[in-house]
Amino acid sequence: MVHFLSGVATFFSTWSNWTGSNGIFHRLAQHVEISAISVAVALVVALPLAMWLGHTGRGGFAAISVANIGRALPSFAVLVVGAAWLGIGQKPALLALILLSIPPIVTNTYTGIAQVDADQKDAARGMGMTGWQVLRQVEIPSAIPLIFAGIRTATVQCVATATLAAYVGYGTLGQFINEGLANSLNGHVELFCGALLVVVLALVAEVGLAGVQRACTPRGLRLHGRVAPAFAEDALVVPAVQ
Amino acid sequence: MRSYRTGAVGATLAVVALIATACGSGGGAKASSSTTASGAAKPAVIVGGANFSEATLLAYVYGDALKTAGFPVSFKTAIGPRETVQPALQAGQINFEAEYAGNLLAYFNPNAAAMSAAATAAALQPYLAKKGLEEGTVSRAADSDAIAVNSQTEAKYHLTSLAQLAPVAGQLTFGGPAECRTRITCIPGMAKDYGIHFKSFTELDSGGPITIAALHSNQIQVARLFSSDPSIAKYNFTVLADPKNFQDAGNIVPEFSKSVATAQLVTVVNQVSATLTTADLIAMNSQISNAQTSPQSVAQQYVSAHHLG
Repeated sequence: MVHFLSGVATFFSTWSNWTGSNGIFHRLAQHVEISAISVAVALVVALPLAMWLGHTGRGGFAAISVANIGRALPSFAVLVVGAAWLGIGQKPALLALILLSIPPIVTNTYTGIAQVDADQKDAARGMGMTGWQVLRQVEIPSAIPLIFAGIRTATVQCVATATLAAYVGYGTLGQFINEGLANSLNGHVELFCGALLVVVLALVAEVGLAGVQRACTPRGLRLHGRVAPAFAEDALVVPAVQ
Repeated sequence: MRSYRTGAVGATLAVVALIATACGSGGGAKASSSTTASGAAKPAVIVGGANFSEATLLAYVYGDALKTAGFPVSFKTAIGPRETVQPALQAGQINFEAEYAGNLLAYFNPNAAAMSAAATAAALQPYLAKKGLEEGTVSRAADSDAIAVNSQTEAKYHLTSLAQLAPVAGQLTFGGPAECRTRITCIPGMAKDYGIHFKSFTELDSGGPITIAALHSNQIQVARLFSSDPSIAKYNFTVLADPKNFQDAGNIVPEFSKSVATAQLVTVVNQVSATLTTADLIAMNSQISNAQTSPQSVAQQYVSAHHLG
């Protein structure tokens, strides 16, 4: 155990492990890039769709069912099939990660919007709001916690699964894991270090998104008092705490 | 709090004890069976294998023959590369594996010179004995690691041998599994024996669909494949000759724990080794990759067609 830990310490304190095209910096950058693009694309695809479905209350069952099937799709299978279609490199990995990221965002956003209290919506319409205004000023702010729960789930899954990209020649931190597996002498150290970096990255993303969520949550829905002033405008429109 | 803690510790101990007894009784059964002179008692065989299609196929060929002979057989296939499978075998998590003689010797001794299948098997013996393992008869059937180029690269540089690769390697991308970086039978061996230094190395799967697709679409120009891979013929890849024998004897050799090595098991296993040929391997691999049949059913057909076990 002591031997193992000193191996881990040596791995991280060796500067040559950080630099170059096989170093931590480069692979970390690849990992962040591919995860960020995947979640961004998933947001663009999933958010408007799920919001519209939740707002109209139509087609929700079908959307959730499709999303759940998507969730069950093994990413590794998508990766292998994707590599045959799109070649190796970033593309098949992006495909697998985008497909992985969409379902939690769709399901949570739909549920969040659809479950907004009917009385709130009636009151908003009674005040003369249009459908668009109801969505933007009532439903979305109320659904922020659930919407963000979906985005955070998608992001953490994405960061963890991006390790698979190493199988299609697109580096990422997964390469440390693969090389660790393939090295009998010092392998478990490298594997562990790769996995540790992935965990740290996932936690950083999680904490960062929690911060963004806080900033996006209207004052009335916050459990603790501190408010970012930029969003006070929304807070005025939203009725009292649920 | 205190009583809760004691309870938790007690429960943990109970679980550990249960697992220990389970393992212990398994070991006991194995020990008693190996002391039975006639080999009438049949130890439970756990057949493992590395993470590529042919390894899975061979696991089922040997495993099904043992099953037919009446051994209780279970399978743990596609575990990982040799660097993961061998420790599992030494730890008793599996107790049988079909291996490749040369690569196995290189695993135990990275400086071992490449030599004939029989000599390799003899050289393996002391390493295996040290780990409580034994080997069966080496088969004629062989599947070596092979360095192959795609048809575009062959047409451009007229390559037939690794000896011709060094001057042009700087313009070519090589693809293979992660272990290629460190194994003497891959990149370090090519550099040492032929002075080959590629433009770059792309880490892919172990001679599987990803590597084949990348080579076929010319995203990589050179790849580490297996010589019995039917896609070599299908996509017109050229396997480069290895005049300096940097690749080892790829003959198949069964490797198993002493604890399961009853006389009957050894007989069954050697019968399989004696029956298998390289042509059989290519035919079965082709059934799996082109006809989309599962390794299990291909192996089953082979075992029953050849009356093994």
